[in-house]
Amino acid sequence: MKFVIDDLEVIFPYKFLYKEQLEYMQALKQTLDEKGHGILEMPTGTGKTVSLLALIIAYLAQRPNSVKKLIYCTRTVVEMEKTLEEVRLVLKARKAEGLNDNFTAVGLSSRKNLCINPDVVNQKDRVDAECRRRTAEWVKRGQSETCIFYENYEKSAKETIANLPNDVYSLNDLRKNGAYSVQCPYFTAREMIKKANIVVYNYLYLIDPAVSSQLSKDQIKESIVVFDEAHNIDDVCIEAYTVRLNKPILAEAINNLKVVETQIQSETNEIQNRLNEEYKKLIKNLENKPQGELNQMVIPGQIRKARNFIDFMKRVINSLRKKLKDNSEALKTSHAILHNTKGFTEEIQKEGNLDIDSLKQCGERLNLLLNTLQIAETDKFRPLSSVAQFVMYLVQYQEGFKVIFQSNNYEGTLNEKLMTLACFDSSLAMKNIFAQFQSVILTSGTMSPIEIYPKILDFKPVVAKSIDIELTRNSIQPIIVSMSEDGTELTSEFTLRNNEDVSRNYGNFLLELSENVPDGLIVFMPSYSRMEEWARQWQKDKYLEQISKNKVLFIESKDVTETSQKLQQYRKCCDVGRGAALFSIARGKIAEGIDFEGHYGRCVAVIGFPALNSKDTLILERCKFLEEKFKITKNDFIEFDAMRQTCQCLGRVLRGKQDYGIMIMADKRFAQKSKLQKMPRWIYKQLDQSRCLNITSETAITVVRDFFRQMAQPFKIADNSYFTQDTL
Amino acid sequence: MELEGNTKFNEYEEKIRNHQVNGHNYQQDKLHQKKESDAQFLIAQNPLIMRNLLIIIDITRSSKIGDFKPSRLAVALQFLPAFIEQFLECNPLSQIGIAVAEEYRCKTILDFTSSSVNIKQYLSTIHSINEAGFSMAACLQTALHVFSTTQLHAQSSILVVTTSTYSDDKLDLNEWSEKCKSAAIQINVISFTGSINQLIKITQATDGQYLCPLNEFQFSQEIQKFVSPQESKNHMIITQLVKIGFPQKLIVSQPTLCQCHLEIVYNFYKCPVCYSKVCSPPLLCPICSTWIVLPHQILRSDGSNTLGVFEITNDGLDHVCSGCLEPTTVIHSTCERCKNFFCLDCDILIHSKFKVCPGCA
Repeated sequence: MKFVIDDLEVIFPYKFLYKEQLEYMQALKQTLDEKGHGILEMPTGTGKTVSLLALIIAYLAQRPNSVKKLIYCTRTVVEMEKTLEEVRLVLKARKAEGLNDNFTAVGLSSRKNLCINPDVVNQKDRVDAECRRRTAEWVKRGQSETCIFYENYEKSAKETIANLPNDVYSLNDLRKNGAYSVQCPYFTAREMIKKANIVVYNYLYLIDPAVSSQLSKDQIKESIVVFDEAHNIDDVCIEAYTVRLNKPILAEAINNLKVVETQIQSETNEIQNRLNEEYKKLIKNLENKPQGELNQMVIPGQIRKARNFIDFMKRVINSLRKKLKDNSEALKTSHAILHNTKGFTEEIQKEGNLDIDSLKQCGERLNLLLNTLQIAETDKFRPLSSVAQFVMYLVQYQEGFKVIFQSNNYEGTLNEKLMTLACFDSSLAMKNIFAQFQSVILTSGTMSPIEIYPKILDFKPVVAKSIDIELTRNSIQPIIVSMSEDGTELTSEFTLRNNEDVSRNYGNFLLELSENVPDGLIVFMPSYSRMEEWARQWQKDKYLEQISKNKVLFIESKDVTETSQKLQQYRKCCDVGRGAALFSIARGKIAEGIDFEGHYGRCVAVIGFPALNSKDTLILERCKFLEEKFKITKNDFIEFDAMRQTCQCLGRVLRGKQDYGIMIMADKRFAQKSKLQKMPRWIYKQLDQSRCLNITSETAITVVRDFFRQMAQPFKIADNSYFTQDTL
Repeated sequence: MELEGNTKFNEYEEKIRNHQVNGHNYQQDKLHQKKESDAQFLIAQNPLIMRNLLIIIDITRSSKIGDFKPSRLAVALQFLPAFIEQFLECNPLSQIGIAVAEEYRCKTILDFTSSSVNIKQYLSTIHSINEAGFSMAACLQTALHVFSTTQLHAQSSILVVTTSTYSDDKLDLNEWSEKCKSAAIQINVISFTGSINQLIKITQATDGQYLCPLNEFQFSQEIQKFVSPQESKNHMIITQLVKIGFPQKLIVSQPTLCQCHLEIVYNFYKCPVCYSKVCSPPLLCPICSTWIVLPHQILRSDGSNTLGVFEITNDGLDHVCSGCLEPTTVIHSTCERCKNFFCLDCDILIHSKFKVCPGCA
């Protein structure tokens, strides 16, 4: 269908346009018109992506002077594929309307997802390294095995890309094209994103400093950047800037250095020549720099020579090791030790006799050296690059970082002392993006309270809007259960964790639920440890046995492949009418990005309040930082984080207007007013305050029974909630 | 059956006597009643002569739940007899069987019969069990087994009264629903718990209905929808010659065993072919497979050909009602076929009970 917003002609690929979609598009257009950034919240499963794409594509076509490109960032590969399919749909609709516009859309993912070389692709975790080994700059003239796809790409990439018709290239298309023309799809895609007007890729390609410097540096300013499912973008930002080191990593780094050193000292002419060449190049760069502008891009003299640089890195690692050792002693008595970045830098400098400029540039220098030495196995050298990254961030950014020593388990090492350079400032990563691009749109199903995002990401949105959903029937039913049948409180509070009554009451409640919910039931719990505790108790009291009579029981595990297999089985069980229950973690993989449409998710129960562990040093420090900088109190932040996680879990259940589902929050803390205010409007509106707030589990079961009977009645979407071509 | 009709008739007479004093209101009331009975009559009009209905009742643990008062099973058993009575009345050549779904299996407790007394008797013996484990596939398996003995020209349908939120199958449900579909068995479900996706799919595949009543009253209303046959798109119409016998009714003073249910009876019908004793036509003679029916049952089940809705005529003239042979006043109706006049009382009675126009007959 075709319609006009203000003076923009939008072509929408469906026959119906819901009211909230129109509202969403209007808000979006306002943002684009003002060339600013925006935050938009719209409930899940209401066609957010398609309305966004339809409007932006129309905008790109009709205002070619003001915007030139759309960069759409998704969280997962599956979402990326879905988005590309939607783009295809929109473009097809435009073509059907007789519009002749030249859009090229391309998706970019890692080598792992795009590689088609049969020798490489089967190696799973080693795909990256194997690919580099075959495709690095020096290999082609060398003697080791090469990748035929890459060679062909090198030869004729430019013309092939220029000749490609305007179309949508999903990962599958890229692979197919690559197989047909025997060219590497990964590199083709990387080349294509420079030319394409619609690019879809992962968050990290923009946010992670290491990746974005390579990939996104030559993006044009007149672009629209969209972050889909952006509700925990701040966590992603912080994680991108956080570096962790421990003793084994440092030892590995030393080993790496040794490898590099032996290579440098080897007498072969070739390597010496290359090193000399590199040195000359660096000096030349120095000469070419314009006068008066001695910016950071210049590699300082101290580390310009390879040998000097190795020495320098050795000193860096040694001083870090010493620091770790010193602090390990102190960790025996305390939980965690904090250091200010400034003091820590000074100490390191003194320890190893290092200068700041060299520290700033050591990451750059390391990459250069590895390239010169033709070392392809970058994954083997990751410890060394993490060290370089660590010191780089340490020196570069003063505020918002802390060095934390902890004794906890990280990556399978038992009781190893861990040194973390923790980033607390989520605005750091976004700052570049907000400056670099004309419009940045953050959008998600659950972004409430919407005022908090501009604060923690430090930007001024021109539009911040929460759009409501219009439901013909009450197809979602939020229920807050705060008591069990006998009147004891239902809560996952830390102080009551050993209370057997609580877990028994929860078990009883779940048993009742499993008996009364048809098809799929999803249960979210606060953490793995809590789930294990409860499961043990339920096993003992025979609750699990009884639940499994009503539903087939699945439990999420930390293993990704196992979980995805379980999900498949879960869907199968729902399909055959047996019904299934899925126990998962509120912060796990299932809570994010996996949809339970239709009968796969008829009820979501969040058992216990999924608050962050407020005893954790990292989180404590982050709260402190937020309080200092943005005046957000610790309680506020923890509540905000828990509620957005909860709502994300709850949002799994509703995927469209025909869909329906129950949302149960079983903890007395959900009934507090401060928590209720942090719920998205579309959920809060559906909460029947007199009937569903603060009730016992018995009453809740009655509500559940009534709800499912109500929803089984035949139903048709009300005419006034959508537009057709005629009614517009 | 005639006896029952007579008692009803007496009730009507009593009502007429009581209401005579109300005058105008009485007429309005009657008109309204006529409308209702006509509507009911039109629904019940069916082109199919024979229907076989198997009612499967879920008696697993969830049937004890008390959200329907006093319990889900009790509500089902409370309203089923009335439904069965009406079903047999509207579909005179039809039969009903009863089965219960237990733990992972399904047991027939009563073979196809058309005696409502018999069915009611068996219904009252049903009790809830304590185990969970309702299995739809087991139900379908049993149904297929039961329907394999019935004639092909009859429309076969299942009515599952389920109280569970799942179908815990040891067999492949899809396989058995496919078999049901190819055997042209219509599957209907009336559920106490809400919609189960897979069951809805099965009912849709076989042109059945999936109903979900909200409360006790609605249960009694919704179950009426199964009285009239549903349109089925994939039902293969098999036409074949059927051997029919009109039995002779006998009343004896000494108890005899009937051949169909092996029960002691005093009044029975005698098969005209093999002289075996059967208790409640219509049924298939268990000895010689003759279809034993009473004449009025055939007449009524083919009722659309002989009986139509009567037109209301308000000509102000006095006529003699062809039903009760009494003069009618003011409002009366005419049969389209025989042009006889009837008073409203007789009209209602004919359409709701007799299904035969006395004038045409």
